[in-house]
Amino acid sequence: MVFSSFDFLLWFFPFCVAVYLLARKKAKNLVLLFFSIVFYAYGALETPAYLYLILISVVVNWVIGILIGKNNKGKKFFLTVGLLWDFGCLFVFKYLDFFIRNLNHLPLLHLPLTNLILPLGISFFTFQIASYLIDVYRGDVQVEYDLVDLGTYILMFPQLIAGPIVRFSDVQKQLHKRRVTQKAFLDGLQIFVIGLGKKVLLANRLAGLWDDLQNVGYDAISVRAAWMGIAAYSMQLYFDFAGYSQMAIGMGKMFGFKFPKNFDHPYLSTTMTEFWRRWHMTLGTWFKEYVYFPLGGNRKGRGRMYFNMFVVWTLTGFWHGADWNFILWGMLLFCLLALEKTFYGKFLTKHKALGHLYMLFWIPMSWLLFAISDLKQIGVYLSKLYGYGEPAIFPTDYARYFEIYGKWLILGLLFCTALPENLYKKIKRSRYAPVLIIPIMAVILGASFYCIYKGMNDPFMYFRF
Amino acid sequence: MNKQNYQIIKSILAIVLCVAFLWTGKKFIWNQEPAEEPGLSPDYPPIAEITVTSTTTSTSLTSTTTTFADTTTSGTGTETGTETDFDTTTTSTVTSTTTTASATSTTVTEPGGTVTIPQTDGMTDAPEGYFDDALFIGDSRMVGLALYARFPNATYFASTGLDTYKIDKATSEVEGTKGQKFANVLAAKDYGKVYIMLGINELGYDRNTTKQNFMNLVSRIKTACPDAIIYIHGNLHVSHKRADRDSIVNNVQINEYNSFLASLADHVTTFYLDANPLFDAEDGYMRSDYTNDGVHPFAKHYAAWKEYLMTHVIVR
Repeated sequence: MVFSSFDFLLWFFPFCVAVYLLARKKAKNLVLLFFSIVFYAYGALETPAYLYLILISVVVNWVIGILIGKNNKGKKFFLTVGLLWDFGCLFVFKYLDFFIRNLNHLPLLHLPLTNLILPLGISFFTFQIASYLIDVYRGDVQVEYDLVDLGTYILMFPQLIAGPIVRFSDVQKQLHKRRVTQKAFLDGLQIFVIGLGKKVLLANRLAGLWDDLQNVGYDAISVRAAWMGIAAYSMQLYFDFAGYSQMAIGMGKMFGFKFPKNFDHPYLSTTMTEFWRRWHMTLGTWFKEYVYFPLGGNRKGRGRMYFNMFVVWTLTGFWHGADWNFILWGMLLFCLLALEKTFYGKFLTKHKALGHLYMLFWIPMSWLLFAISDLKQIGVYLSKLYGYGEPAIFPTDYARYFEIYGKWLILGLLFCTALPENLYKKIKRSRYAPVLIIPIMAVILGASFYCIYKGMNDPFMYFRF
Repeated sequence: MNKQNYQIIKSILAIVLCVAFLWTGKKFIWNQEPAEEPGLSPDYPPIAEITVTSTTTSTSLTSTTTTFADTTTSGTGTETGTETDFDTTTTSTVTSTTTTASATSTTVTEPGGTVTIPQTDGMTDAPEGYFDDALFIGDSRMVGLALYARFPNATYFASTGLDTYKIDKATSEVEGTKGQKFANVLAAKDYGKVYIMLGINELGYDRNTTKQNFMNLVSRIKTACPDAIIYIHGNLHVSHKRADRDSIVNNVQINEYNSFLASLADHVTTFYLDANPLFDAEDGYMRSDYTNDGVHPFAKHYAAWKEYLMTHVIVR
């Protein structure tokens, strides 16, 4: 169940919050764990085996964690076993078919595809569990003996399916002792509502343009429509993901947790390096902590540093999806980051205007590789962007698209900047806050509900042909 | 007992409870076999069924027969035999007994979908300017036709999601009639030809009401433009992938509705058209390389549809 559905907003979440607030302090984790399992079970209705998979995974990691903590000598062995299990699951369910498909290009090889459906949130919870095991191994965190607490950490529904990737050290203290104050609860609720607005009112609106272009076929669109399309996709991706992360952070706060920030206005960056410090920050931290630094980071010479960066970005690309375009995307990011580090990164940071121009070009370009998985189609789209593709079948298509999506594009552009957030913070601090915040929240919530309702009041509405 | 051991024992107890809960749940609550939804199963149960549609009744004969059927002769038609421009049509005879004499089209329900062989009614190529006084009514696929393969002087009343239920509430979204209501567009001109393609958006509603709505729409058009030739256009099929995940929008439903639409043709003022062979793969589904969402053909394929319309007209 996605956060932006009535099942979640009107039933699951209010009910969960009510039970949670009423529960005794010691039972709060159990309540969260119970609702998280229900949440996951609901999402895995068609593949019930995945519910067992994730539950077993939690138990396995709990046992391994204890074993690592208790055996100083054999802890390397247990860590290896644990990581093999975690990443093995991820590999089988996410990457096996990709490898089979590519191996089948070899002569005489006809391996059957597994056609497994990707378990909900496996990319996220694998990384979380792994961070726990590694941290226990390194002695950075204490072993968690209580399965309910560990299970709550891994399965907690706000961050279970789409991040942020919360490390155990971020929340261990709060798992054992936290307070839900009225202020934190209301703040969390506001963060949640704003996140919901980003997802429903911006991302979902903008999504239509990219869908339209896909349905029309990239070879038929005009140059201007191509640029509009990739701009809309870039914004949609941001609001979708950032909105979802924000909803998670808000809910966490309502439950008394402080999740790490995941997005910090990434589109205001002046270099790709900076961009990736501000986009999906918890993933970046994860790769830095568990791949880049263990490989030696930048302390083993320049050549080694480039190699380490190459590994990190290839893996980052591959983490986003099991397809060649994601690997290619990771390579592009590696190239840009390496170039920035070697040549012009500092220059762009100093000359901000140039930096913004540079990013204005590279943000949509990099997302293009992310958006289209068919390499041939990427070529078609590129040729459209630069005007040497086939002529558009409907040459004034951009006018039509602007009429439909123009207002959302402009609004999206505005919300990519820090202006709305700064204004909101100002209002919160001013003495008019009590009279302004509630109406603002009511408008966002009302509009979001209206849009969700519009998309579902008619049971057959979702296919509007 | 120290704290750690206490926590471990508590946790093991939690596991036991959880397993017990799931086990009893499986035993007593979730034990029912999941209901097979027709649209969701990856493979359709093999239906070997011939649906013969007559002008008045629909007869379904369940019997094992040939995969393809020949165009049958009609009461008023002048042309018989196979349609040469459709590569899916092969000549063979229906082995089951066809009882209805005035059949207008024969549809064979394949495991995947139905191939409808349209009745041609002696259609010819359109003379110059034929479409100048034509009105096209339809949903998003008609919007596509208006955008990507327009007849320059024709009138289009098309909007995404259009169906017979909201035809009076909706406003047109294509050039020329943008923002106008259907009643105004219909009254604006004495159209000589009216093309209608509607149905896919209302497959989920009560089918009898939908059919009644459609017949009302046709008679309304006849009243408004008494001399018009009315072309009822069969709904385009959807792709295999699209049909598989939907119990409503799939080719079985579309074909059922299309055969109703075909039955409305009186071959005097009302005719039936079906462009599906242009877009279908051999199994009767829209070709997967022709579409992204399984419903709308890519823009470049609308030209073929236009060509089809230009070569299938009645000249009086």
